[in-house]
Amino acid sequence: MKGRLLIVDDELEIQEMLCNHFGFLGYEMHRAFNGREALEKMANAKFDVVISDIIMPEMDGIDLLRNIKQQYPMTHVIMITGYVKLENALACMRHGADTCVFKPFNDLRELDGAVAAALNTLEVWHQKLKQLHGLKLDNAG
Amino acid sequence: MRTLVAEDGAVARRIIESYLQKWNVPYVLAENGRDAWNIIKNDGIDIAIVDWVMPEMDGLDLIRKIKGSSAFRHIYTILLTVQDREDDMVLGFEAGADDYIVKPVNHSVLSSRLKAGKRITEYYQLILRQNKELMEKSLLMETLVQQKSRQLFQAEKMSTLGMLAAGVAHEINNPLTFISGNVQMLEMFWAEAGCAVREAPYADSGKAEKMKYIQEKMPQVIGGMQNGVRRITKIVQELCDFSRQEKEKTVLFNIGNSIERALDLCANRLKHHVTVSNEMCQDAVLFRGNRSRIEQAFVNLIINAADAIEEVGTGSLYVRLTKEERITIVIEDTGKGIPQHCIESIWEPFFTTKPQGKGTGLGLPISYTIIRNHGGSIAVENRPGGGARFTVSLPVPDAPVLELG
Ligand SMILES: Nc1ncnc2c1ncn2[C@@H]1O[C@H](COP(=O)(O)OP(=O)(O)OP(=O)(O)O)[C@@H](O)[C@H]1O
Ligand SMILES: [Mg+2]
Repeated sequence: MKGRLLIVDDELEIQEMLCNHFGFLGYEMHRAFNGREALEKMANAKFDVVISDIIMPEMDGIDLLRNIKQQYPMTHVIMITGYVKLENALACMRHGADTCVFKPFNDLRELDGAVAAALNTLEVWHQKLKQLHGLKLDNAG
Repeated sequence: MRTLVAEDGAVARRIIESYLQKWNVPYVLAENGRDAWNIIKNDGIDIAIVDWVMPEMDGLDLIRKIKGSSAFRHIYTILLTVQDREDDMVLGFEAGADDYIVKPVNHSVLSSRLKAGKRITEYYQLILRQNKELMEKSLLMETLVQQKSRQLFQAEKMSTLGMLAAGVAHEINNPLTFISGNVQMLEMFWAEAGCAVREAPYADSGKAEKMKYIQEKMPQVIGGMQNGVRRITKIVQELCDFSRQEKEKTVLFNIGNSIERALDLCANRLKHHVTVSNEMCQDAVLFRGNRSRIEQAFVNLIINAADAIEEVGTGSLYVRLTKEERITIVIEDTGKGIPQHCIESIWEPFFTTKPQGKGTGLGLPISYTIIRNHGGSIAVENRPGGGARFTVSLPVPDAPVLELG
């Protein structure tokens, strides 16, 4: 298993498409329809990367991003949005998202790259911590 | 005040003439009614002194003729009469006379009656002149109102459409996302599974044949879907551009450079069949606004010109930048021109005469919206020699020019 991913999007078809895609690439996939549901899932299990839409009912992506960065600083967040606005992109950046990918993903490799980079960073930290403490940490870091 | 004296009596005529000479009044003499009428028709008369009894045509008839024609009605008429009787006076006024003098003509009476006539004629002329001016002004106002309301209507329509476009674009974008993603996945899956499909042993040769066909055609099927996705993506992108009306950061920039950049961006579309010549204002022309949006407006116009020229083979594109009270950019081509019945419709979103998949019909409405949002206007006409001419007019920035973006 390459890593645990959580897809957050209010559109079922997009959830499914991304789960199939990343599942095929060997990731463990989980999903949620909005920010609130995502936080519930995160309270019970660790995730390496969250891929979240911005505009969603209940709790939007920016709120979710803020919450994740407060509660789970090690989790990487990649924002996806169909509503490309400068102010949205700035909010993503300000609140510590890895990157922001615009819909439609006519090249999914951009998203693949972002996920791989996030896991890479996690892996590097994982190695460092292992060296420092001589400890055996589990994969989720 | 050019004055006509119509009097058959030589003595009376001579007396009036001498007065008029003394007062320096320009005059013409007539010995009977018919001569007088001919003079009136040809000679620009303001005041007519008309004797009652004359050969050929008497004074009353002459006055009736004058007052009956719209061209000469304004002539101030004074009837000369010997009979100082009330009935006659009434008759004279009814024929249309403006005043009367009893003969023999008295020096001071004539003088004061002429002065009164002159005054009234002057008022009358003033009113006529003002009336004419008013008419012209109201006509001007009317066309202005028409023009403005058309512009307002267009702007209103554009902003409603803009909001609609943003909504539609957003709604389409989500399904587009999963179609696009799934197609990409299909491609990836097929890359893995395709060979297996062909190489698997099939007992039935018909089945094997079919599988071979699928193997062959699958890339085309996937390619077709990807092509569709690309086209929808472009339309959604254009719709978003069209609706983006948020105030973006404005900078002061050299508009000549922007035109050159736009031409550079279009170089690929121009290099094969278009001769470009530009005539830029000597001094740097600065403008305040959103630079990339303005460049986009020019790009749309230039691409349209390139397309129009392509339809006739080869041709020229002229770009001119001038600055007077406003900044003017003229972009004209020697392409196929715009059929007269389309010249209004070209600004409508989705109006296009280009083949399916080539034109969306959003280029011009986008340019229109951008230029309008910058306080400018854009007009189109066909060139006398063939081809189209687009004229963009932008306001000159008012602040003193210090920074440069
Ligand atoms: N320079 C031109 N000469 C002749 N016709 C023109 C010119 N510019 C525009 N038109 C006409 O106006 C139509 C609308 O132009 P517009 O730029 O809005 O859309 P388009 O070029 O058809 O598509 P798009 O710009 O979205 O790719 C064109 O299809 C064409 O018929
Ligand atoms: Mg166009």
